[in-house]
Amino acid sequence: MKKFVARGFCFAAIGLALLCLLNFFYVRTNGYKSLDGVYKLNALPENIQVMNLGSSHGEFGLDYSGIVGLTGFNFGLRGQSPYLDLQVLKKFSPKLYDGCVVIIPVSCFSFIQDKDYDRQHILYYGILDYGAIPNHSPMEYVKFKLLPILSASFNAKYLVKDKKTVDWDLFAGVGPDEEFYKLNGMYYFDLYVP
Amino acid sequence: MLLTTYKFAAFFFIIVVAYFVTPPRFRWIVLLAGSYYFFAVGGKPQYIPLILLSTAVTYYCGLRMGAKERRSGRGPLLALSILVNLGLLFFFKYLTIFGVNMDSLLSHMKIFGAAGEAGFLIPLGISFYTLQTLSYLIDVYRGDIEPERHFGYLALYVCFFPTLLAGPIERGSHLLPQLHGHYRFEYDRVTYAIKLFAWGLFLKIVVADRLAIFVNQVYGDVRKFRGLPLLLATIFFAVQLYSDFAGYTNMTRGCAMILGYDLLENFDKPYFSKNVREFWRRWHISLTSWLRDYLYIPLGGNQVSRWRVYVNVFIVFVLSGLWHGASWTFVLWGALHGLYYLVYMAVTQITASRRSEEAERREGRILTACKIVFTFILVDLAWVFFRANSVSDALYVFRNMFAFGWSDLSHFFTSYFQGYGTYLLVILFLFVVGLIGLRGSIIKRIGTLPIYVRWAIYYAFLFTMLIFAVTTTNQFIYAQF
Repeated sequence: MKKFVARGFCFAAIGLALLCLLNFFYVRTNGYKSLDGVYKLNALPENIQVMNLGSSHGEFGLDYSGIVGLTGFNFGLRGQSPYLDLQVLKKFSPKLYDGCVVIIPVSCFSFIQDKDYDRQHILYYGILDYGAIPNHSPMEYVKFKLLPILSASFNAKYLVKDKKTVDWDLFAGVGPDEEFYKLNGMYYFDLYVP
Repeated sequence: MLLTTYKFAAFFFIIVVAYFVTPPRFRWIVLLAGSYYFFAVGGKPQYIPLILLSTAVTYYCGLRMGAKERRSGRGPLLALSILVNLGLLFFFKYLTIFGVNMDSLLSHMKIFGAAGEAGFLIPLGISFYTLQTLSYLIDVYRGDIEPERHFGYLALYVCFFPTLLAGPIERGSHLLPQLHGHYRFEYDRVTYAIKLFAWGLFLKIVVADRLAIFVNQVYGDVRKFRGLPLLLATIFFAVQLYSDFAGYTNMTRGCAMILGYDLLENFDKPYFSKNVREFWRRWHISLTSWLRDYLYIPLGGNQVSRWRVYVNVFIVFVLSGLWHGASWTFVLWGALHGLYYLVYMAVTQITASRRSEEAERREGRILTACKIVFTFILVDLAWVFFRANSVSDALYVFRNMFAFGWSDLSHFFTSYFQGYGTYLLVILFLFVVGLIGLRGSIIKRIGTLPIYVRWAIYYAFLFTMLIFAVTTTNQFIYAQF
């Protein structure tokens, strides 16, 4: 029993150290930074004058980059529900200019996401505080915030061959359903029309 | 309670600690309490009286049969116990095939609340523990084993939590003596068991659940697909099912081994079989041997006329299909395998005079590989019935799975190969492991390597599992039977 406990402890300690090391390298890859929201919301400008929330409709439908003299930022994220809109707004309100215009795009998905898109909340462990995330759990916190390598799946390939720059891929780091649709050249949202 | 969850890990840790700190003669209480908790949490607590009834009838009839000197006196008791146990199985599993709405029936009987509130659910592991009780009763009837006199040990035999969910279907002669044994915490045994459990977990959460993503999407609505996706999903399902069930078996055997018990093997690299008969010697061994000993042999076995043997074989396969579920798809799956088996028997009877066993042993590798591939194709085609939601879906798959041309193939290799490649890589890995495993247990062979090599392999394996595991929890396929 003593031998088992001693060896088990050593195995676990070395394993944890190796895992932390692997995680250290993973979070520094451009591939990881390109995942949903991880990079985007960590590079916010100060004094934002106009912003939008919303799901992918807002995200893809609005672009402030061509407007000179106006600091705008697109907070839209895939699967963002009205509840998460509010949490994002609360979290980032210190970055907003007094009298900032907030655009809230609404789509038919907005009203079903809280109920049906219960797995979308995992995207927000890197963005919001733990308590603000609906359906949060300690295991998910470890997996998506403390040690994101555990949720990397095939994105772990970036440890071997990284992206040259940080960009954003709609399907990167998504769940199994989306993986399937990507595989078959189908568009994910087509299958969720209520 | 799924074996792949943290909840089960916590449950099992408590059981192991409680088991080894308890004096050996009281350990059955720990295991029995744990098993009933597992049964209640994994299924519905309302069904505990059901398994108790089954156990009580089995215990009483077993004891009474043991007290009778002559076999003829045991007959009525055997009939009564079989009637009760099979009656419960029939009531909960097969009444639906006659169109009875179990939800409303059970709510009417006050087993659940309002109709549909709880949703009908078959009692956890009923298909498996019923076969275990029957084998015990028939063995006592035949005089092959002595009846168990301790109610606690018999109750544990019926609902031992590692075997409860989906087997292996144990025998009284194998498990009951072990339950009476006293086991110490042995380093070598426990570490081997942990490795066995880890390999099972890998098969389930990395291989089976990943392939399930593809298979479930295609077989969930087959009519959305045509050609290559149907074919690939059918091939993937064969690997998924094996990984799921073999993974589960390794996990349960690992759990039991930590406690000191050795459960029956259920698989022996079935997809390396050279013919259908060999496949059934290697696939779900505990069920196949059960059907052989308690159904095929009592029907006359091969001691009757040739035509009667054919009929017996066919009956066994159809009933095997029906055991899997109250659905025509399972019956057809069993019947198709019965047909394969009969054709194989007929062909070997014709060619037996021409080919000696020695000649068969000396056959070339290419011929062996061809036989393995051919057997896999036959088995995989039968899996279509097993997996399809209905007979019409299965027929649709058969009609359309080969409806693709060269352009589809080239499109597959150029556009989609990268995506499918991950699935194919997983299958290739499993194939290589299977090939290496043909020469003996890989776990034991790794155990002979120097510690730094061994631990490097363990870490690589562990990290692969942690990183590539599919996060959505899927029930084991056989646990639904």
